[in-house]
Amino acid sequence: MAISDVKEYTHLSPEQVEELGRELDAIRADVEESRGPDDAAYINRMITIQRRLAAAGRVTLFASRYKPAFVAGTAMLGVAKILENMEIGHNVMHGQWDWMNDPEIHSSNWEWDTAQPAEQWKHSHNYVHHQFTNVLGHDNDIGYGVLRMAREQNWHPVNLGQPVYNAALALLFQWGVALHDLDLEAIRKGRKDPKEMKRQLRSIGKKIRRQFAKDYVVYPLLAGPNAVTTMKANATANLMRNVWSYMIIFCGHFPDGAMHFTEEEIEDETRPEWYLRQMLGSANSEGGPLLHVMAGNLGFQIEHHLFPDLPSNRYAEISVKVQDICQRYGIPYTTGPLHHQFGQVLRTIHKLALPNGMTSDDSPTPPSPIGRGRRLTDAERPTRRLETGAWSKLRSA
Amino acid sequence: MTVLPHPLAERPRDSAYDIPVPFACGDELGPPVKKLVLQCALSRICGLCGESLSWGVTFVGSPDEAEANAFHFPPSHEACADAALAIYPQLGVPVLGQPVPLDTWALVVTGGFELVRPTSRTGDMRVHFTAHAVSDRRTVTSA
Repeated sequence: MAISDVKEYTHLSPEQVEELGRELDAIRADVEESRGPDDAAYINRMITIQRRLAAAGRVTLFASRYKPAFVAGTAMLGVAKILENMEIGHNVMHGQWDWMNDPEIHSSNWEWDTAQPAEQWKHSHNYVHHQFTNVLGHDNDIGYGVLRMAREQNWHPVNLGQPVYNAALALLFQWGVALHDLDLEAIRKGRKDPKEMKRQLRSIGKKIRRQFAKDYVVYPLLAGPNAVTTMKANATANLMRNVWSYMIIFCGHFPDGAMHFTEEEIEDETRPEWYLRQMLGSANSEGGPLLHVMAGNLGFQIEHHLFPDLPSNRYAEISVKVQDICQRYGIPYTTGPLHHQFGQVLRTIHKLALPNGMTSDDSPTPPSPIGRGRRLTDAERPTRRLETGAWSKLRSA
Repeated sequence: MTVLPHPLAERPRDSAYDIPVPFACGDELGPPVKKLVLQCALSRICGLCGESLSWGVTFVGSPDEAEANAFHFPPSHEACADAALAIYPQLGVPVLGQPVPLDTWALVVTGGFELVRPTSRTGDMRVHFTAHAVSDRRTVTSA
């Protein structure tokens, strides 16, 4: 459905939508004014912990033919990779720490420990995913091009294999992400600029060689007689990071209640409308402080989508205020324990392997309206497409 | 003669002025294209050459924009900004997101910035940028 037709907020008048926007702006301004040395200390501490864990893990693996060293080294390296990708790399590349003006901890300079080059991530994630959040046919994060994640997407017999594709995507997540910005659909349809594709492939190839050399050549060779077990440990640590990041990312947009949109002309939406789409298209996961850090604070996915460039350590305090706003304005705030959210994701993936007629819709009922105002008419809004997203159209063509 | 940074010099040229078209302006030397402005802001790429930004993010605009800390042209490399202010204002036409030709320009180097979307459908629908870790400010007058 188009964003203007979403029943979860059609009860709000234009004035209420603007007021909601002002309240969210005030939250942003509060954090911007108060961020300072404590926040800087947080990210510096996180980077120090991550680097020490990685170093300790690598050193321990020099004795990895002994099982305790293998287990301890792998665990430390796996946790270090998770921290680097989730709480540090992802958030630094969003510009969350650019305000420190530190040339190392800066969105323009950070390169992370995964196969996708940072430059391509900043396009596929920061721009495509965050600008077109849950817009079918635009947001490639909806099923990563291999899974049918919304009932609005046309079913095809190939979708019967979803449980298998899903397991493969989880295990090989960094490689799926590495190819994400190539836009395989555009390549298949011959719409991709060959020059740009070559440039991207060269960049991916260079990054993969570096990653491969580090985990499967240099460190194993340094481990001497422990080379083979070090190689296995590094592969296991990468696997741990793959499965964890897959789970956190899928729990951010595919539990019941996170909505999909079909509007194409979203570049002319106002800030309050943009806020609403981000809130309705995202879902939080509940857990303790350690879980949130390991998840890159993406358990606060709603807050992250509202304020992708505010420091992640502030999302917990922001979430209290956002929940209050949602309650007062009658806007759904989708949240639940991580295992519960992931259960819903898996159920959706398995159900959507089948045609819509064979399964039921799990969308929750929206909350009761708190008032009735006038929605903008189509004439007052910029031109937009009202049919199902382009991806579905292409699939059915 | 101004030597343009390599990626900016390689940009497609405007058919009327035979000069590289800034990435954020699309196919011709006109106002920035909103979709590309958003892409520059979120992907952290230079609005002039289209390559990844480097540390020392730079905004160019009118003195009024600098005063209000509300720039309409997306961030760029400092070297691209310097080159842009040496070549585009010479054309005597509105460039780099300005509604009128300018003789005096502001250049601001910053660590970070905020993308500000329009608040209401009744006002200016352009997005703008606020710089929030400014390390250098300069005024540039076109010869």
